[in-house]
Amino acid sequence: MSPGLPYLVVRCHSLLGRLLTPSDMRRLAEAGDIEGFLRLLSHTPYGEIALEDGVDPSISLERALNYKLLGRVEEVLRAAPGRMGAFLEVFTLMRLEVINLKRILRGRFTGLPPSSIMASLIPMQPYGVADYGELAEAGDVVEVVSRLRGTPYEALEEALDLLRLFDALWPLELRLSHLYFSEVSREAEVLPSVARSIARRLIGVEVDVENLLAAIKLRAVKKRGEVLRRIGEIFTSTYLIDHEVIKRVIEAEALQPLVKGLDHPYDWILEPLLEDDMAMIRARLRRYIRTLAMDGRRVDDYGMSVALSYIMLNELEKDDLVSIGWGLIQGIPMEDVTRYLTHPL
Amino acid sequence: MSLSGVRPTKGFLMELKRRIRFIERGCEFLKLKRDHLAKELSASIEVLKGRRRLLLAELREAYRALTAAYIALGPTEVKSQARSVRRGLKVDIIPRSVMGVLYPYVRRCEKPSIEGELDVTLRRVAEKMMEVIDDVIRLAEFEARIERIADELGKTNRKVNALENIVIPQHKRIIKFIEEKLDEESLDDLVRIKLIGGALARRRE
Repeated sequence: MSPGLPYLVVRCHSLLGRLLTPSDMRRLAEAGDIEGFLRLLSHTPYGEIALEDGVDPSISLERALNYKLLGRVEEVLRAAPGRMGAFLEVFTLMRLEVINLKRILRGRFTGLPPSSIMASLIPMQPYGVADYGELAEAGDVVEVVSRLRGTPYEALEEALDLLRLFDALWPLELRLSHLYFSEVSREAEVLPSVARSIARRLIGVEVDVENLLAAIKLRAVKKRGEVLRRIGEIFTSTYLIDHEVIKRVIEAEALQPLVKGLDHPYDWILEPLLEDDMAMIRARLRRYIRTLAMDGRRVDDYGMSVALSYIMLNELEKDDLVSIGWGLIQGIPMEDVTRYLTHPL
Repeated sequence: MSLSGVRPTKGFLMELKRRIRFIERGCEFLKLKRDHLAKELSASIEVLKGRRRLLLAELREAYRALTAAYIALGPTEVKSQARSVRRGLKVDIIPRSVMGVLYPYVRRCEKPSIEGELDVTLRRVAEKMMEVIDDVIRLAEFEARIERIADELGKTNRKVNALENIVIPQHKRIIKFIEEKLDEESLDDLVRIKLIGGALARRRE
């Protein structure tokens, strides 16, 4: 039996001390090579990380860091009481599972061997589905979707028409993100109001930016008219950016006035679009989520928001470490990497 | 061609003279070809230098975008998305010719289909890479063309040198040898005729 919310809060406060400081991050970024990076990382709460032989070192590092992230998430989940635990499971595990499902769908879409698909997945126990291997071995995308019946992703079947219409996978990928948003929003109903609004905002901003980026992408598809006609069917979940705005993005001749006219934070997040720096949009989204997570702690430091903050900050930290490690392995000048990091150095 | 096997006959001399005229004409053509190839090569090298500089700048930009995409999405996600592209790049290689020099011409038959499939970050990289790949193909084609022209220039030069310094002088030497031999023979014949004519005149007396 879980000891309750106060225990979760105290536990998360103590776990927050495990997060890396800006100076830790700076030292890691200045490690010079991947061996130095791993040596420095071993002196942090991450401990020893051994890269697998015969595997691309950056992939192996990402997998190892994902293991560490999952370990930390599980610690929080173990301490979470009752329905809050259920919410946190959806919030974290479903989020990671959606990434895995997208990778399985992509693999089946192009006919990749199941072993390659499995190697690309986040190494986690399935959350809403029974077995990833079974999905990876399905004959095609339609079969993968049919094998998802009876899981939280059952509604994906409704997007199959769009898959056939556009002969592309993006409607399914978008629907998966939307399913995650709806599920988190539904589960968040059990949370205290402050935590509920923080959780919805954390995921909502992400969904909105995903929708805007999808809309930008869809400006170039051949059946743009069909996209506009079926906008409600394609974008099943929205937060603060509604269908009208999405429609305007798809139809607009020039994006500049549209981006500038968006409300905050979307105007700031999408601003790099005007300089053709797409990667910076994601960096800014992550920075905004980090700010939200930190703000969440400020307003609700002795509530559920601490757990949400801890989980989000861990995920962002893991992403930054993967980026630094990749940059070191590839011999990329560190200033090219650090400008996209979430963590302030 | 050594002088030992030479038949010092008028027929052979005429044949040799016909042959040397043909060789000299061929040599003139080869010199023309050599000059053309040399001109083409030096012009192409200038163009190549410019194209390479442009391509390097484009590549730098594409790699910067790719680096940013890897950082934004993570290596596993980039690989997963890149594999979701169903149609790859397909090219046909067709032979083309410039002054009889064959070089490969690359025709792009199928573009990778990235429409809607990739994340916008990666899509931008893919678009940049597609532009660069087109330029890489054109540059590779141009480099192959220059290489072939340089090869052909070398061969033509060797042929011209061989004709000018070996084949033509040798033929001229043989012609001279045959002409001298024929002159000698005709002189012998003249002397012989004169002697026979003298002997016949004496017998008639």
